[in-house]
Formats: sequence, structure tokens, C-alpha cells
Amino acid sequence: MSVTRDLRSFLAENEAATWRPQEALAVEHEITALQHAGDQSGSYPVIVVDKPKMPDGSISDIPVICNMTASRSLTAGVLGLSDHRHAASELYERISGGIKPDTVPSDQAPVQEIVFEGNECDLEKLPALKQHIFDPGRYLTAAHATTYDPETGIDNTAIQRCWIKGPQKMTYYTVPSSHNARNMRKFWANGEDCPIAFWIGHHPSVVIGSQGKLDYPQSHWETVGAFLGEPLRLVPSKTHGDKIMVPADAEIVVEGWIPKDKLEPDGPFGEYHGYSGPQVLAPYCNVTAITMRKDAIYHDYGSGLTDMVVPDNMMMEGKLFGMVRAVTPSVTKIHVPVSGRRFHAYLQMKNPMGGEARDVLAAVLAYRRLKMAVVVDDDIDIFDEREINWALSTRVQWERDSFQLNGLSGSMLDPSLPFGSRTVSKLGIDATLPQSEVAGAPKPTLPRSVVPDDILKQAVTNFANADSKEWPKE
Amino acid sequence: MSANIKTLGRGHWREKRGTVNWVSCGSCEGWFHVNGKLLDEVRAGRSYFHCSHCQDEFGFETAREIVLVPAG
Repeated sequence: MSVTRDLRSFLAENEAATWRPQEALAVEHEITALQHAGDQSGSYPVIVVDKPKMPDGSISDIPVICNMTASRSLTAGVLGLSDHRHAASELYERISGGIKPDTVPSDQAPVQEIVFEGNECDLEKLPALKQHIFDPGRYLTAAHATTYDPETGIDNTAIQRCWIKGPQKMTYYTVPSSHNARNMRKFWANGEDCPIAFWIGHHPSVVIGSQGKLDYPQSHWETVGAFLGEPLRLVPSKTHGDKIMVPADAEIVVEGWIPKDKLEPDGPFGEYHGYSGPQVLAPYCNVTAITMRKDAIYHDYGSGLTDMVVPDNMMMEGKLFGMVRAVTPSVTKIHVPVSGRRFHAYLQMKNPMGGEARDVLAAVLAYRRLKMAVVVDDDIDIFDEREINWALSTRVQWERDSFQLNGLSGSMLDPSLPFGSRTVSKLGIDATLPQSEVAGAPKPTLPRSVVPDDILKQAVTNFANADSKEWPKE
Repeated sequence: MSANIKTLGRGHWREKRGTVNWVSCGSCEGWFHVNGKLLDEVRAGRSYFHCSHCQDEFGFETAREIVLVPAG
């Protein structure tokens, strides 16, 4: 009998990669501080806090999991990728595929083992975190908001933040270009409140699969199935029935309505770019039901931390791979590095023909989130930023090899944008070498300084076996 | 023996072109790279190439092949 793939199966399979601090840790800052410490040291365990200390000093009986997707290699392994360096091509294939979901009745849905409705709902009992200093309160950060297009009935899912303002009230912030925002505006244009459900906690395949950058309107459930390798089990939500389905094997679901045209202050909030974003006006949700497992686990994303950036960037790599495939088959790998947040991409090409590198740059810079793209040859490891910097410093004449595109759409959360800007400026850099022009002759460029492969391999082994504890690290 | 000399094109200024001259040894056929000044001196007969693979010393005319990049 196959085991349902959910958050529990993930934790059971990855015990060795999981850290469970024994002490009680406050939901205000202390858990997030662990993630900052991990990022600073370059160590990315999954973190499960069994004793989250609530603002009133009590210990929540709902554990908190965070840092679930901070490691690229762990995330790639969980997704069944051959290597995290192949995320672009392999996730592109997944995004292009699909497995239809199954529907199960409520009594077969663990997420509906406990049901609170109306005044029984209390968001404040969830061990949601106040992550950063400027955050005004505790936020749901891994709440997958599901709405639907009232014209077609097709649902959409995306992670969007919610500030808990009361037992049955939380803000719901979504950028205007998001597909959920489009759905919400359609309901409002019809004079109706927008139905919504938020699900929290599931297997990383479900969490990441739901972040696929899809068309509009297009449901995420089939893509999630392709990531899971099996149909996603869905159950009708308590409030909205089969109009909004939710994953049956999630941990927690919050259901409600977004009242028409009502906006309230939300934030400041730590954003993906690593700064605290400003306070904004946002819709809010009036909660009608909270359902959960008997022994629910609460999932938190460290906003702006590796935990949050890694899965989103890996999905961006898959999206960009699809965009460049329309231009050339020569792109072999793509890396959207955590250091560049969502703004930078490195693309590796094999023997690009004249002009092809620039074709690729023009194609990917059309993607809204990107600000800068660098194309390199396949001798450069695009997952090692020292190699990228080396290519930039030794293969580029800026006048010849870079170009700027102005007035393109971009992320309005970019902290460098002048106040009131609606478009951004983008940069493409061709850091490839010139191609060979004479058959049988080397490239007409300087060769790398290298030692023979077999001798290097032995030296690497010798180094690894040496006692290096006292050696300087910097 | 006369060297097989190939001079690369200049192309448009926006296109990446070669930056380094390569010489193939007349004895071992190994390739090594040389700068423009040495090339000029060897061509004028005032110096010679030294193969970094077989250590042979030879002149412009006895190179097996030379790939030249034009000055920018």
C-alpha cells in the first residue's frame, strides 16, 4: 500500500536533515532568528520547533516547521530531480505536464478532522510568527490562497501573506498583477465579496508545485500532481463547497470571504528582497471556518530568507527555460541565485552561434521579475558565483557585450525603484567567449590555467583528508 | 615548409571576436598562444617560437598552422 505523500511523510523521510531544538522558542523573532543564523553560516536544516512559545507565554500544542525548502539539494531530491543544477529543464517538463486531482469525501480528509466555524474560529491560537522587527504582528507566511475566476470557475493558488488582526480577521496582501488579485477584482466588479480559502502545510512537492508560474486562468492542481507523481487528493472546503477545493492532506485550512472594496493597512513586512517593505493598503479576510488535523503542524516560510527564495527561484528557472526554448536549444542550465533574490539569472549555453546569446538575453529579460541576466559558456559553473564573477571580469567589454532595456514591466517591490515608477530598467550581459572560427584550432582566446585532471583529483583528495581545523578560513 | 596562416575576420564591433593568436608546432602539432609583438618579431626573422609541448624552436615559415586575430 502506498503512503500518502504529505508533510509527515516528508519529515519521516528526512529525519537526518531535520533539527528539532529542545527548548521552547518564542513565535516572536526567536524561530526566525534560527533561520537567519543558518543562512549566515550556510547551513540549511529543516527546523521543527516542538515547543513554540506564544505571545502570552503559553506553549502551543501545534509545532512549527520552517526552513523546509532552504536547501536546494534537499529540495531537488524531494522533488525527484536528478540534481538541483538541472532544475530548469526538469521543472520545465513538470510544469508542462499534469496529473488530474482526485476528490475525496470529508471523512477521508485529515485536514477536516477538526472543524471550527463562525465564532469558534480563533486565528490567534495558531503559532504564526512575528518574524522581523518592523512586522506589525504575527503573519501567516505559508498560506496558499485559493480563489477562482467567476467567469470560468477555474481556480488559482498562490502563497500570499496574511496579518492576523483578530480571531476571525486577517489582512490578505496580493500584488495587483497576481492571478488571485484578478479573480478578486472580478468578484468585486460584480458587486460580490470574493470567496477564498488558505491551506497551510503539505509535502514540499505540493507546496512547490503550487508555485508554478502558469497561464491565466489555469488551475495549479494538475501541475501539483505532476510534481507529486500521483493525483493530489482534494476535498470541498466547508464554506465554499466544491467551488473552492483544498488539499485533503494539508495540515490547516482557513476559509472566508474578502469583502468588496474594503482595504486596511498591512505591513510593514519583510519581503523577498531582504528589506522590510512599507505599509500598504490591502484587502482583508473575514474568516468563516478553520479546519485542521488533530495533531496539526504549522508551516512557516522565512520571508526574504533562503527558505522562501529557493523554491520560488527554482520554479523561475523552469519558467525561464520554457521561454528560452522558444528561441534556441543551446541553453543547458539556468540559475536564479538567492543572492540576487528574484532579480538576477545566470544562463549557461553550449556553443552559442553568433547573436544567440543576445537572443536569449532578450527573451528572458521580458520576464517581469528579472532585472539582469548573464549568459556564460558551459565551462562556467553557474552555481558558483566566483565563476560568474570571473567570467564577467575576463570575458566582457561593457560597451560591446552589455545592453540595457528601459521601460519594461518589473517588480514594483524593487527597493531601488524611484518613487512612483511603473516600469524598470534591465540589463543583459553576454559573458561568453568568442567562438572558434578555424576548424581544429583552439578558440582564439586565452586558455584557462589548469593542471592535469588526474593530478588535480588526487590533490583534492589530499586536501580533504588533511587536518584543516586550524587553517585560516578567510 | 610554409605555414598555413589563417587570419580571422573583424566582424561588426558589437560581435565578439578572437583576442589571441595561436600557433601549431611544426614538429609535434601542439597548439600554443603568442602575443602580437612576438609574432611580429618572428615574422621579421628577429626571434623564434618555442613550442611549450615539445620544446622545439622554430620560425614563422615552419609553423604547421597559425591563426591570427586582427588588431582591434
